[in-house]
Amino acid sequence: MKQIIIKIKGMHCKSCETLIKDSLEELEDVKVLDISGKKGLATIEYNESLTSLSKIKDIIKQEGYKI
Amino acid sequence: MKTIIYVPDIECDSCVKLLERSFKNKEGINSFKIKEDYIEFEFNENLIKKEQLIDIIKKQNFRASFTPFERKNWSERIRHYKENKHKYKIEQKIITYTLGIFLTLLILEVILYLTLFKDIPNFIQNYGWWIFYLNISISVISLGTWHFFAYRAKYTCMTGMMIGMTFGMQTGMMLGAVLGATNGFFIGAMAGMLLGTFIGIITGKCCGVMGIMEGMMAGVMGGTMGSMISVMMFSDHLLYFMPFYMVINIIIMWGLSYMLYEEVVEDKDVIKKPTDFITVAIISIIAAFILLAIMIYGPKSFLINF
Repeated sequence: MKQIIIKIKGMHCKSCETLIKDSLEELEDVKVLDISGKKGLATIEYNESLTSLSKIKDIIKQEGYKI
Repeated sequence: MKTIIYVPDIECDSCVKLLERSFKNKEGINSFKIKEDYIEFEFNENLIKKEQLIDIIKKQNFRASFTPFERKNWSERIRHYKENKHKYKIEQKIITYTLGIFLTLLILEVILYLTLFKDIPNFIQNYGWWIFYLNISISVISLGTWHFFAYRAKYTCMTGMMIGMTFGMQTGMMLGAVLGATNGFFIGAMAGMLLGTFIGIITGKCCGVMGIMEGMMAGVMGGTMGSMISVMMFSDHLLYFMPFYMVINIIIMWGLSYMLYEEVVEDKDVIKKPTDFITVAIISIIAAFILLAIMIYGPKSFLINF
């Protein structure tokens, strides 16, 4: 399992945090350990053999947020 | 079957998107319309129950109810307070701490007066009321801020902006008016604006940049306006005006604490971490004595011109 911290621009409320968290956790073996709209940061744990970092980033972008 | 569920926390597109996703593909929900603060559902009661719809919404951290959310009126609040005093422990401390800080400041100032300023003619006439109003302002603002920081809560944009704006504005208005009366427009506006902006930022940041901006704008406006009131009214019954001005400002600060409790704390799982009295008293004393030094030794003060 790999842990990363990603900077996310555009989160401004609790719903944004939940939205991103839910979408990412739909991926196999991906866990959002911490996400803060105020800090604009998300700490994500994922299994490298099942998911790639680019896939994670794509999902965040698809939700309408910038990285 | 049709039903309406009231959801007062829908604020932005993300909230709508989040709710839409939670309802999509849920068996039994035929259609739904998300409005400003409620959702209209058309559902099959054989497949999903009304209560389950509420649960889906609550799971996403929104309040939800079949009846509109109504705030407690005054008599309901008093009754609730009498029956649930343990829920208001922090709020009860506001009054005792405010009085504690006010009296501590007063005692220290009396000692200071007797040791340093007793022999200066007209010292009490020139500074008495203003030191009294300074103490009121400092103790009220300190305890308002203390109350706010006593809770580690999540703030909606609307509440956060209101908090930043009120703190910034009231700090600027109260301190600006006091310093404006003793040291003129420049010092009054500078002190009111800088302190108002500072308090506006530290409180408004609870909801991000929107709250910070609101706090700063209110600090600028309150600080400059507060001192302007004193300067412009100086030769026109200012001392008669001040009690009304201060009482209204105190009511606003009280209202802010009330709003904070009602909107952010009540019925919510909020972490409570109030600072102890000694810490808040020390901060208040330092702030009060810096402002006192400016009042007495700053430009345009009575003592300098004496």
